[in-house]
This record gives sequence, structure tokens and C-alpha cells, in this order.
Amino acid sequence: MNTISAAHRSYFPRGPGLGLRTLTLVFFALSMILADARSDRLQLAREVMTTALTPIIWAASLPVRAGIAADQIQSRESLVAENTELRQRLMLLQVRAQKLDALEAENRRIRELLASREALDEKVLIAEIIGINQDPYRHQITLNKGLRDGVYRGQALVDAHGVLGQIVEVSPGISQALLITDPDHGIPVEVNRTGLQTIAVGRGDGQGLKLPFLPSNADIREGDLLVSSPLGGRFPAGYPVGRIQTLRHTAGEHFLEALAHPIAQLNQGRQALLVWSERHADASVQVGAESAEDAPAEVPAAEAEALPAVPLATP
Amino acid sequence: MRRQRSVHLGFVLSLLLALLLQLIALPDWLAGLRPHWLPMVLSYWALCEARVPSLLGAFAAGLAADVVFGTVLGQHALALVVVTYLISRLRGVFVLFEVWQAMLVLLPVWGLYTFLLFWIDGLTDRQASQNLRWMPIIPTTLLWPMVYGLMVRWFKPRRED
Repeated sequence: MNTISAAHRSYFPRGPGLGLRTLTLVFFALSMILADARSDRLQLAREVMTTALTPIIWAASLPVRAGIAADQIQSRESLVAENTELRQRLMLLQVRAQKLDALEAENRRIRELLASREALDEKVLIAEIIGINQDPYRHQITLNKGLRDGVYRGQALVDAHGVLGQIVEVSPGISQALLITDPDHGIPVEVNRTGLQTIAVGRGDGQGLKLPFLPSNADIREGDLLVSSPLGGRFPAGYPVGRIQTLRHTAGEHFLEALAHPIAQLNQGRQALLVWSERHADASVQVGAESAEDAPAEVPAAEAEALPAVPLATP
Repeated sequence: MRRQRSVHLGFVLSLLLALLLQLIALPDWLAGLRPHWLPMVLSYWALCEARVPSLLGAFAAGLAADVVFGTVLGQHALALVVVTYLISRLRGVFVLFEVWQAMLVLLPVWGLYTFLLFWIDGLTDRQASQNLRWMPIIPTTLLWPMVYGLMVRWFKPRRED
């Protein structure tokens, strides 16, 4: 006969023991880790959970937003001063822009001559940085633009000075970006002076890039500008990435290692620019057109177009 | 029954608050010293409340942490479940200890938590700076008595019967 009241019964928990429950949960966690690290299968679950947790992320970003709001309330004098300064800057820039127009036109003509389809004006979108990953050893930021604005995974992110990083996760309203200084991040770069193509990897200390495995006779100097390279199709070409700071040549090693400082102001500023790479902009237009027309007759035509490119294995 | 529900509500709310504290923006010089709020809060529930499903809570909170921090799904969940299990197991021992002794006993537990995160990062080929990783153990240890005391004061009186 059970004489313990319902309220007290819970002091003596029933069901599987503590160890068994722990083992089950550990098993679940381990299989999720494996599944998530090896494939993209859990991406949907992650997106659903991110959406569900958006209120928390929003609440955590409140102090930052309050800071932005406080900044917007400025005194009149400072506004006047800023206005004058901006006018002067504008004049300077206009002068430069005049030259730029001519250069751009010339550049376009030359590119047309070269039959290159590369666009000079990319489609861009300004996003506000609403959160910075608080793990000091992981360089990620959260932006206030997401799937609804057409942001996609792998999209490049720049600021007024250079490349910031790329988008790694998108949910409907927000997205996460990995900065170029994160040790997990690598970006194809080109040495502006010589055209040497290589890869810049983040060093993880928040302010450095590393160019490993350069041939020891590579033509590279301190102060060289690194610009983004279109190799890999992820980053738009020609944005400044970093400047070479030191070259390290260990005796007896076959390779040269260069350290660079990023040009983008990674820890400052609250806005970032999302850049659509040309290929992806085309793809999104196509997807939009297909879904708008919803014509099944289109598909065989596209296939027929694609087929001749594939070498047919005829016996 | 109603009392029980309020305990469960408190459990969920405290976990959400811990997640929020873990996520909230801190100035750069302080960010390295951010304590591990989630295991701290879970340690109270594992020690003082047999009625709440602290293991399940640890798993769910861990998944939420994985999602908001963008880590591999299951990383924080695994570490939190293991830590919660250890603390529940040690519950009988903790009854005998003063708070400062418990604080020292928990030090290796926080160490284990950090190590598990570090280990899974290594397993999934993510790199991270070694030194910064171990820093939070100190503030976690120092803040634990305060958090524990506050939570005892907040939740215990409702449990009197």
C-alpha cells in the first residue's frame, strides 16, 4: 500500500536511474555532435531552434541597442561640427569621384575588350551589427538581416575599409557571420602588387591574419596590400583584406610565413555591408523567375542546355 | 501541486536567465572573465531539488547554448549533462560540506566542463586560444557561493512543508 502523498512522492524519483538517463542523453549529444560535424543534416533543426531563441538573442542585444540609441542623441554643436567636417570630406570625395568615373568607364571598356563578365557594381545591403560572440577566442558577429532579406550562407561581408568576413548561419530575421580573424576562417587573397594568389587564415588573437605555406622565393614584401580574390567564387574580387606586417622565414623550413593586419575595422563600427557575389545574384534571380512562372516546360530546356557541356560516354 | 509547478517554472526561468547572462554583451576586458552561468545555475538544481528533471534541463539548455553560440550541436549539451550528473551524484557528500569547501570541490567540476568543451572543439577541428579558455573557471568558482546563496534564498522558502 502506498502511503506517501503525491507531493512527497517526487522526492523518491521513479523510472530509469540517474546513470542510465545520463548515458542516454550523453549518447544523444555525441551522435548529434557527430552528425553536425560531418554533414548538414541538422541544419534545419538548428534554424528552427534559432528562430525559437530569437527573443533571448534580442534581449541580450538590448544593451548594445541602448548604446546605439544613446549615441544618436547628440548635442547641436557636435552635429554642426560634424556637418562641416562631412561637407569638407564630401568635397574631397567628389573630386576623387570625378576621376573615378572616368577610370571606371575606362576599366569597363578594357574589361569588355577582355570579354570579362565581372561586374564592378555589386548588389549590396547594409546590415547592423547587433551582437558580438562573447567567447573571446571565437570571432563571430550577429547581424540584423536574415533569410527574409535574401541573405545566404557564405555571403561576403565588408565594411568601409575592407573585407570583414562571411555569413555562416542564417535564420529568418538575423544571421551570424565569421570574421576573417577567426582561426576557422580562410579567405583567398591576391597580393595587389604582384598578383600572387594565396590564402589568408585567421590567427585567432583578434587582430591578425596568417599566410602560411608561401614558397620561400615568393615575391612578397612588408607593406604589401592583400585584396580579396574571386577564386572559390565566394568573395567579390578586389576588396582590401589586409596589409603584410612581418615575414617569417624559419631556417631549414621550405616555406615562408607572412603575418598581416586586417584592413577592415573588425572591432569598431556597427554597420556592415553584405555583398552579393555575381554568381549568387544570378542564381537568386533565376530561382525567383522559376518560382514566379512555375512552368515545368522550362526544366527540360535548361537540361538540354546543360547536356552538351557534359561529355557523353558513348561506347 | 501548485507549489511543484512554481518550482518547475523557476527552474526554466533560471535556465533562461543563465543563458541570457552567458550571451549578454560585456566590454572586451571583462569578456574573458565571464563565468559559466549555465553550469552554476544547474549545480543548484542538481544539489537542492530532486523534483526537477535537471538532466533534461541541462540537455535542453545545452542545445540552446549551442544554437546561440553557433557551436557544434550537442557540445554544450554533452558538457552540461556530464557536469549535472556528477553534481547530482555528489549530492550526499555536499551535505557535509561548508560552502567554501563545496566551492573548492566544484573547482575540478568546472575544469571538467571547460575540458569537455575544449575536447569537442578539438574533435570537430575547431581551433581556439588555449589560455583564454581556462580563464572563466576562476570567476565561476568565486561567484558560485553568491549564486548558490541567492538561489537558496529565493527558492527554498516556498518549499517549506
